[in-house]
Amino acid sequence: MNLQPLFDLKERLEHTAVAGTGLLDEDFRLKRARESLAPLAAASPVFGKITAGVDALFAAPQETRGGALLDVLALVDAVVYTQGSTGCQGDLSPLPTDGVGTLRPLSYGQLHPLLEALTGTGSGRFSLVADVRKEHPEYFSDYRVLPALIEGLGDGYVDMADQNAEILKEQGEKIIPLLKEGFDPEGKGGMVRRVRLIQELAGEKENDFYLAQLPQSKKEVRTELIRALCHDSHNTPLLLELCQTEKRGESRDCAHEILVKQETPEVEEYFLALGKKNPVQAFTYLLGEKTAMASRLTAAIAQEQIKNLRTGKKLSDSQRNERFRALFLALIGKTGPGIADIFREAVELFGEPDGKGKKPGIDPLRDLIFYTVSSSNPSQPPFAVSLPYVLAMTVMGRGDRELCDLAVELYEREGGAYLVPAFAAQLLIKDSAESYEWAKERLFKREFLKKTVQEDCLSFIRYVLMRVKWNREENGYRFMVRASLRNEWEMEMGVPVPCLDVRWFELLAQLGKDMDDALAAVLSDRQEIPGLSKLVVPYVYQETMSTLSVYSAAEWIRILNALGWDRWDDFVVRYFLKQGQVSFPECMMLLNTLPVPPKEKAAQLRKMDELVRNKKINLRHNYWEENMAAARIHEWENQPSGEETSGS
Amino acid sequence: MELTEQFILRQAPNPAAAENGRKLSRGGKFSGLHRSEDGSVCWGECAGSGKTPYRVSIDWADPDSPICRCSCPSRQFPCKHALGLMFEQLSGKNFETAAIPQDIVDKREKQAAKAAKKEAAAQAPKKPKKTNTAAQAKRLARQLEGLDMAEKMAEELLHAGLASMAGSSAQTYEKLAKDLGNYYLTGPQIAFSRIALAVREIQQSPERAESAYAEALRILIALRSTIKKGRSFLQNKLEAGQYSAEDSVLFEALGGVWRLEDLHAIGSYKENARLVQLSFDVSEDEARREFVERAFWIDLDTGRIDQTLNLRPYKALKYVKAEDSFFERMEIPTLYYYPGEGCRRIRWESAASLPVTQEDRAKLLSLTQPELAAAVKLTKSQIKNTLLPKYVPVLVPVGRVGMVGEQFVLEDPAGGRIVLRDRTEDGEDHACTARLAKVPGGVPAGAALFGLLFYEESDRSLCLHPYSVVTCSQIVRLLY
Repeated sequence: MNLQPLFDLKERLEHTAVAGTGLLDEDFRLKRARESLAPLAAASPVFGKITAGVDALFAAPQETRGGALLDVLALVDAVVYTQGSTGCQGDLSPLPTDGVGTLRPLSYGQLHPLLEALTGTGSGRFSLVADVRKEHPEYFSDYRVLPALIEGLGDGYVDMADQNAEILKEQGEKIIPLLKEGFDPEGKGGMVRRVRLIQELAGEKENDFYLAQLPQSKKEVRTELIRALCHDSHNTPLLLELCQTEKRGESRDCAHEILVKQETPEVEEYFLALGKKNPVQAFTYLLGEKTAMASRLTAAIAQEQIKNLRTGKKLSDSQRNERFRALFLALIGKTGPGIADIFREAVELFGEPDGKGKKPGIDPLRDLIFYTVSSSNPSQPPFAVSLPYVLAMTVMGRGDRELCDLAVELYEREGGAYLVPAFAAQLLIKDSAESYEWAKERLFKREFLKKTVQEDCLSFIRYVLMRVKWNREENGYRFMVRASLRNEWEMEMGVPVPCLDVRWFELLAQLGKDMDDALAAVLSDRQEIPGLSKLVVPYVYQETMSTLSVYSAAEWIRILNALGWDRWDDFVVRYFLKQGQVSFPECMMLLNTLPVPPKEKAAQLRKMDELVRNKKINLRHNYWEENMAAARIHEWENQPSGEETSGS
Repeated sequence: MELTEQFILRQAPNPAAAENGRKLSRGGKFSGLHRSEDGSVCWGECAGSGKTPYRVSIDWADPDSPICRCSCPSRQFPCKHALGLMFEQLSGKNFETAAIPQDIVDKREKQAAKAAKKEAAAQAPKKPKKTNTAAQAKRLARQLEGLDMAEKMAEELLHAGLASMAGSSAQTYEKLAKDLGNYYLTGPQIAFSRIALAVREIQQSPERAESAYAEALRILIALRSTIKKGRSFLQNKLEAGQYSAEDSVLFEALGGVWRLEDLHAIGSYKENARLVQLSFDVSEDEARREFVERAFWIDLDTGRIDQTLNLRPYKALKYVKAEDSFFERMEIPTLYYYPGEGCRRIRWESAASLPVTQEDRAKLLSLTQPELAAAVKLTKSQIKNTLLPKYVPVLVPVGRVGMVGEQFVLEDPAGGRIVLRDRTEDGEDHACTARLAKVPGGVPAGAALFGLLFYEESDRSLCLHPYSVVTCSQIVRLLY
């Protein structure tokens, strides 16, 4: 049965409702639709009822036409519903059965806030997701949550997107199909994070995916896909091509950064050529690389630049400074044939350290890193000051024997700040007693019958010792060196250092406040020190009590505890009374660090609280939380002795 | 009764309270944990933000309905401290045995006396309720007047045409809706509130005018039916002098509110029902200004699918306990049905829960419609009734679930097919059909699909919006 007349009539009736029954008499289309239904009416009573309904509509007075319209529409709808079709022609492709995730009985109350936070906007989402991650990490593997997490990789709030990425990483390789599903190579931040995650989870296993997406990719996604090519060495020819064809700076740089890690003759040839054409760029790519090829390239390109300088090749001051800045930064961490010669030549070219009267900062390398070359106003490059530290970083990071010998040689020739790499080298070359004697000799100047401390040498020695850290797992010392030129707080492990002579600790204590940082560094994390002088622990205690910084005090407390100090009664009370002032967070910080049972912490906090309330001690920034103190006291007093409390 | 996490979550007024309770327990905020010798009372102290810790206790005399007490100032019941004490018990913390504190003993005695008084009152022969027939008659007459007014409003709107809504003020309809409240006609009142919302939508998003007109027309068609049938219903009651609640869907459509005793009086109940929840969802009804928490339940004995509706008005959100998904079997001594056909609203006063067994799941699979065609027939017969919803919840057998082009399709064992899609009226937050492709392990043959069968205007077809997949081992919720 052809029902089109019925649908047409329905449409016309709905139109009448929208236009108004006031215009009904002029609606010839409705009349025509009613006429078209007549044949159906003859075939079936229900259509007869409908046509009768339409007639009644036309016949009704104005004031009741609305009702009549609704009546006939209700009837039409009822018939239309009963004529609704089902079915679907065509081949039925089966649904996938490899759905990722778990099936959990998670309720609306448990799941909905999380899904809202992941897919919505507004404040509070980050902390809600963080709370769920802490309390119910199992929620995130639910098959309903995973897609929301992946969508959330593109969240406008970057911290949220990063958190989502971390959570997804915890789910493991099984989420890779979801990450690849709906991947858009022309997309934005969300797609970049997808590529990054796939790399982190699967590395070279997904090389085909990276290659397949690369041709269509754009912008940051493209850069990330290029970065992903690092996992498979067969990608080297492609990387070589990309280095030459990529128009976008970031992608091009990325291709170079990945390529420089591939040690092949073609790659070496390419970078040598680049070094001739654009040495600054070449050095930039070699920065931080520790492979043998990187060292060879650095030496070769540097040699070329030095030769040019010596032969008087025309370069402006700023061009020269730019090249050599890049060269020296690239030198950090390089070893092998030719590197030592480069250092020698550099020292010769740029003179002895211009450190007279100028005390180097905590990290003179910073001067080099942040030195900007401007042709309009070329400032004096800091090469002379920084070179010793470039060498020192390399010695501490790589421990290369040739460079250690060079460091000592340069110190003997140039003196001054070259004590830094030389002392680092001696710690590696000599045994602990010899290196101690060597350093002590340089620290003290004998004048007539007495020895005086060489102030300059103190800072150089301190610089090295502050980078000597005890490694508990290895039960030995290692140098800690700067891991990144951009972030001075990012450190990485350098070479192992033979154990320090036990006399160092007493010497550093005797040298006083100037060497406190060094003493704290070499004592940190150490427990028993056989033969430790009896002077050291009392000195550390004294420094703990007198330091103005609670962070330093906390560090000293940890050191005291490791050294076996056990006189903790009223320790925190005594500290703050000596300081003359206290604030609540500072007090809590020290109490949390104190290695005493909870009841003892409660007792000390109670005393501090009384002192504050009775105004027997000043408040720093007027900040004391009486109620929080009471709550903490209550908690500690009721805590079993064996349990650790978390800091608040 | 075994104390489980699910039990604690059900006691909580909302999920946030439960989570806060859990944090208190995990954070070691409790001290002085004690229990009575018989284990029926437990108590302890919980550190708060003030100096004095809160005193918390739970009376487990009735294990299914624990009585929680706390000295904190929170009005939530049970508060997070009481919930935290439950978590303390759940985590197996040590509760020392001690004599019940006197204040708790006193409160227990008071509670027992109150319960005894209530029991006595229930047992006592009830005095026949005096019906104020004059007032009732007046009310019915007023309702009839209100129906006339509603009819006139609808006429005026249709005379001018729905397109005139674009130029009119939503406040006009809101005022009309408010006036209908004076005539004890909350049903028609809500209808005009919905029309007011449609007016707002047209004015704020003119590109959605067409769908707003269609929605307004649907409301008016249902309203027309309510007015016609309601008029006849009320006139009959007035003439017969019959003022009690009647077994008719019109009672609620006109704005009546059912009490359980009224449902009992008309015999609309069943004893010893066993229900399993198939799905749970929450939507917002702007016209009613409330959240609607809806759960679909299947009766293991009859295969009927009905729904619970927990209504939480905006202004009383804090005071009305939120419902949640439920994963166990509900054993209900007395189950009440609201009048109506098809999927009826159900309620109960008390119930016990038991885990869903393998046997239960096997039983569920035997309760499906024999085939798609039967479900479709049932749906067609129901949705043509103007007073009933335009969807029917059904449980249908799965032969295969797959894709034809971009569409999800269910094929039953007999070869009948139906398109699976989201019902747009439910809103985007109810979209879950695409999740069928994500279910780990897929949708096996022999499973069953629970969802809402509805009429899709755009292609004049009947479709199924899937909400859950029932297999022999579990119920996989596509929503919640």
